[in-house]
Amino acid sequence: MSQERKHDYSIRDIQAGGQTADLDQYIDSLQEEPTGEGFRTRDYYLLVLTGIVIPALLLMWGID
Amino acid sequence: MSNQNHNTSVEEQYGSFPVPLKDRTWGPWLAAAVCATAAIATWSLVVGGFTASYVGAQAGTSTMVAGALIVQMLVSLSQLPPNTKHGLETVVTTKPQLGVRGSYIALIIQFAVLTGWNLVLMIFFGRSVAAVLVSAGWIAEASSGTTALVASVGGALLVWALLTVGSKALRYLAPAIAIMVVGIAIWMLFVLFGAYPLSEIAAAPPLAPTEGGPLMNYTLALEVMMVSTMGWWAYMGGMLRMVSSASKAAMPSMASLGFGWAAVGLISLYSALVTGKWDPTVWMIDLGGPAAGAVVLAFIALANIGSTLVGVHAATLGVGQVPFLSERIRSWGLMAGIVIIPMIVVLILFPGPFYDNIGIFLAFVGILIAPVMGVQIVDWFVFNRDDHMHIPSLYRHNSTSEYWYTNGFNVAGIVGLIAGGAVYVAFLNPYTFVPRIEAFQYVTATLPATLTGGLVYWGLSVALAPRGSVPAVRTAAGRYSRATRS
Repeated sequence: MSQERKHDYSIRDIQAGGQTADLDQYIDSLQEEPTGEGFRTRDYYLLVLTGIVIPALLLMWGID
Repeated sequence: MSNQNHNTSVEEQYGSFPVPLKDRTWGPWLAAAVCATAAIATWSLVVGGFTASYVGAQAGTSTMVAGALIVQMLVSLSQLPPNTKHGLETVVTTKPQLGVRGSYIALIIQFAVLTGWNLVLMIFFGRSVAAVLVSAGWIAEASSGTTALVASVGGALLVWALLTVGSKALRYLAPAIAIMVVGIAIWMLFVLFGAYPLSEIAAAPPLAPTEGGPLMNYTLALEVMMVSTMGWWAYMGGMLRMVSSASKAAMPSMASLGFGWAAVGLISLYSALVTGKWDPTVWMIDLGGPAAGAVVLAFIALANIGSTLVGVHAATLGVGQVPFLSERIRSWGLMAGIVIIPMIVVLILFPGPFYDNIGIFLAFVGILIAPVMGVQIVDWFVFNRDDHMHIPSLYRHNSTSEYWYTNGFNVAGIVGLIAGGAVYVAFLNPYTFVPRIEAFQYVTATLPATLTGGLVYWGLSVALAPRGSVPAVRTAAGRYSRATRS
């Protein structure tokens, strides 16, 4: 996916200019922006380990 | 090369709009440092003190760390996908689930949580300044109230000044603050362990357990930590929209906002159990004299101002979603000032009553955020919304948005929110923090509320979806231009 953005102006500049057409164009262009990466399999392992397995072990230890 | 103009901050350039991928330059270490700066503050100590009421050291250690990790996993699942994939702040991520107008509920929740926690931190900061100055003999006891007020308001104004440079302030200050507060926290633990042997701490009984029995007290301690950790939901977007992938953000989220803030809270858990005092400006002065008090004051100043900085930053991004404000206020600094004004009003007019009712504030957090997390997790991972998000619709405030639904509200999300909140109240009295039913001791109140929010959202979304839409991505009564089977 291309990482080149289709515009290099500031949203603040557009808002300061008060031009509705430019703001609409800016908002429409957001759909074309390159996106970051979501969770990978190893991230799910990490979340399950730190968010379920370790807490479960801790709770079993602490209730003694 | 980044398109970002380096003379302006990301906030000045994009406001509450998504941060483009090329400008999301925070790596895992910087993200961890910013999260640690947010996490480590006297709120950890307040929660540790609460926990000491219900359980001893071993049970308290397990419930605090486990409770924080469990909920931070839910917070991560509900916020990291849209934050890191699209560069979105917290409030705007709720528009697909709650609707364009429904997202104002999320805005109110976020603003209340952030302002509430910020007030706790600034009030504590002011009181700590006064306590240390009194103990050093620099001011009279009679003037401690005025000193606390001046210090609190001064701290809030300092945060405002730092925030005028936007996320640059977080980027440059966070690593230094994180290292210093972690160092001082470890030193406080050494001082405590030097004065009280581990065996004495381990044997100390809880301060004021309820009559419900050991398991009920154990679960109450767990719930205290879970409901407190939920507050991070409001902070996530403001920090982690600067990270370009969920992989880079998952570990910082769990390590700093999960484990880190619970670990610092253990200091006040142990100190409360053996000294009866959780406030380090009190017990550290008792153990180490005024010099130790000055070091603790430095800890509180750095930690609380750093955390408030992150909180006001996130709240300013959230308030930027209000068209009335964003169309009229061009300056990031001025927008941050509008966020800080209500804080200053409370700091001046009624800091005492607010500080004395923190428990109610925490319950309010649980009632509202738990179901929102459930709704969002279903939306990202069952309906795969994150892969089909229509970003322009997040920034259109009328019926041209795909997330306008029914007059701006997504019925499925709103009902899920109400149902989850009702379940929370059915399990735990939010005013007294006393459980209403026996089942609470087995399942807490947070987990059923989160589950209910998600299930109701899933059920209503599927039931209300128009015929012909793809089940995995359809949602209640919305428009499905890219999701509809063709």
